[in-house]
Amino acid sequence: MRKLLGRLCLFLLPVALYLALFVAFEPYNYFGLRAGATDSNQPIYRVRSYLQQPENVIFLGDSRMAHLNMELAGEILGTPCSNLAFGGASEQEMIDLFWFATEENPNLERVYLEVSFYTMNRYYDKDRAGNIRTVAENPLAYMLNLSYNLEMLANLKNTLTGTAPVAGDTETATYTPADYQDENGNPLPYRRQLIDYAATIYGVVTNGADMPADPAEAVAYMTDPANIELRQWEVNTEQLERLKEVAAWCKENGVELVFVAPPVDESITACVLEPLGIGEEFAAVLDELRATGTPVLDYELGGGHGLREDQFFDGFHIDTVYGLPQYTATLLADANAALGGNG
Amino acid sequence: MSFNTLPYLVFLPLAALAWLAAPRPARIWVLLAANGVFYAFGGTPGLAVFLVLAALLAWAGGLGIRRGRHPRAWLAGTLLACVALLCFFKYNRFFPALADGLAALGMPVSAGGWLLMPLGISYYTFTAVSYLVDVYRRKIPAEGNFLYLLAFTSLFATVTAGPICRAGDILPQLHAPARFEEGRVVNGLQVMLVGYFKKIAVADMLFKFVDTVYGNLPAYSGLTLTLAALGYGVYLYADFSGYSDIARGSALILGLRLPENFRVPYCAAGLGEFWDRWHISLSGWLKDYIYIPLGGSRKGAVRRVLNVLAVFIVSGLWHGVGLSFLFWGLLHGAGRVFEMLTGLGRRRTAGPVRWLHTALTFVYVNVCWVFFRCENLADALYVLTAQFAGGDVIAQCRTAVAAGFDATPLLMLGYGAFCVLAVALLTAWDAWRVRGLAGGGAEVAFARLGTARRWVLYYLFLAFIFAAFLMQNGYLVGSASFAYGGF
Repeated sequence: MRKLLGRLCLFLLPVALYLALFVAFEPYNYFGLRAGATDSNQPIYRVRSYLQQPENVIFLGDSRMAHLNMELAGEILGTPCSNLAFGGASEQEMIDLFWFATEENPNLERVYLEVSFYTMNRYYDKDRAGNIRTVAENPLAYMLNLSYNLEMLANLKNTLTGTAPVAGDTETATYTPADYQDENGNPLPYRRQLIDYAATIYGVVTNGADMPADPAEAVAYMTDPANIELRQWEVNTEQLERLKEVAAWCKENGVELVFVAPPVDESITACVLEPLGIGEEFAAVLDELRATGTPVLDYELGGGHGLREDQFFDGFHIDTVYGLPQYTATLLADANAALGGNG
Repeated sequence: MSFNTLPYLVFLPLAALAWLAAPRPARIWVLLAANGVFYAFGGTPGLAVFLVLAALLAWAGGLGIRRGRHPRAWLAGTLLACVALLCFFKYNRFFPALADGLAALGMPVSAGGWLLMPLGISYYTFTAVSYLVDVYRRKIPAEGNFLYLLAFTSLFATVTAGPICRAGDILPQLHAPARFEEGRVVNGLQVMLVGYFKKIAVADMLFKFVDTVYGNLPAYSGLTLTLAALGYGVYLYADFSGYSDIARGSALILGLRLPENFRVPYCAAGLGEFWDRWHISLSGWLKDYIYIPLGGSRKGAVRRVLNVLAVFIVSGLWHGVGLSFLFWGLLHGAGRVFEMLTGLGRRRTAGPVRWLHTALTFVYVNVCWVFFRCENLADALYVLTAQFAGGDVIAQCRTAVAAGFDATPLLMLGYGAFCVLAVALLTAWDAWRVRGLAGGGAEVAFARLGTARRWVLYYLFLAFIFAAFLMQNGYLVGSASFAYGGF
């Protein structure tokens, strides 16, 4: 029997060595053995961090909330915060992570929960929170996941070659007059990058759009009211009901909740929200949420964020250097005011 | 619980230790408990009542045949009951009123609306039938202890998808003392290793492409369909023979020798030889309990042809409900009849003639698999005819792989390369085994290698299994179920 067990150990040795290599070079500091993660914006890192140290103030949303600087938020609020937002999150995933947070932290005090026309689209129904949670709670699920193994190998390669990993969370730029002109020097209604991004979002909320390559023509196409028939956007009523459940739970359990519709650049309003009639319908969603008695900070339709066009990196995302600190302060101050100054 | 899950890898050593360590009077209870745990986690545990019922029928029938005054009546009655049990669950979709009534009483239903088939019913009813007939023919004594017959019928290593074992082979082993033998355990682990390689690294990987194409046939044409059809043949072989290897290996660890179920079937020259090598336990069962009782080859040429066709019709219907399964059976039957009438099946060939014969058999069998896989005859005919139409095979394969294996282009290329290498390794392994067919299974092939080569092969199989498991996110997603577990 001993000989057999010895042979079995020898047989499994390469697997054990590989897993040890994984632990040494895994990208998200899952086991807490290294300092920092390669990319701390990833949901696995954020959920894992929350499991290890759940803070009483949390942020939930997609990339627009994920990029908020938590150190700055902690300074402003005077208490550390956890950011469970991640790029591409759907409303369902945000709500799933809300319930996860309530299970892990009975002392939850405040929640900033994103509600956006983009995430409240019935056709945007990603559902990965269960898997993310399983991976975060189960080391084997993490170690035997293909994506993380590939990232580990990339991390290993970078370490061996001395290459620094590409920073993923800095979106900043400055612009020249050429960015506001087409190829022939004619002025564009919006910065070129904003038009491109609006076209991308337009493509997501429509079906069968035939977007011209020329930016001016693209704006004309997007603002053509005839194209409303291409719209593939409907209110996700299921998630709307779940948001109301969240509001009711928070009220019952003394947790401060703020719904946040993040700012968008005017190009998104003019090229997507208004021509496709989404703005009107989404406004009704926000009204329903207000009716629960929960404050709604509507920067998406209502503006009031005070950001200039050049403080947007693209139509959705605020410049992390020139705009995000200002927005973070605005958001937290407005939330405090909406909650009656309890901050 | 399925063989290809991590809980099984915990369950098996615990079950083996308990079985080997238990005092002799308690051993059968230990095995029954292990079988019960396995079955409970394998499907709908409440349906185990039908497994117990089949075992009870077999046990009572065996005793009645041996000790009763009317052995034929006992045989006929219990056989009818076992076959009726199987037919009811297999074909209840044709009796919706009855099925609806039972569903209203709480019987679980499938997604299609008919009653769920109990796990392994196709296998344990055939096992019960073979026991009853063997007792009647006085090949074996009737088992007096119901617990042993139940343990044999419900054996966790075979209940899901066979092999369909003979009571005369297994019951004596259950009664014999159990001893730990390191060599036998090593053999069991070797056979299981090959089984897991076939299932995880070959079958599950090919499944991602093959199932995507078959799931949306109109989107594909030309060489893509050829690749999918051939891929299905390899997938089915790797999946089922992998299962059989894991079953045999598991049983070996417990000290039980199960029959081999596959003997490199794609090396067969002729359909007769193919069925001597593919799902051997079923072929043997059909020969002993259908073909020979019908008269076999002893009642003239016409009757022989009819008997052969009857066997393949039963085989088709056993595999599934639907015209495509029946047609598949008839195709094999017709091919076998052709061989008999032309004498092809009798002639032993060698060299290039044998290679040609083997290649033709391989092509014919894979054409038949198209009918086996497709949901209806129209789809099967589409696959066979549209292969000769044009189509951008690279674009189509990329689409199919992307649908089944959602990844970057580089990873998809890696997927393709991995499949090619895994199939190449399987082919090389089978080619090596062909050289020692008379000796038995994978453990014999390993024994013929030196220590260093054996360990290289261990690590090679392990590397493929581990890489495939990672590529499929096997831990999170779970491994695909075994194809033959659905029959």
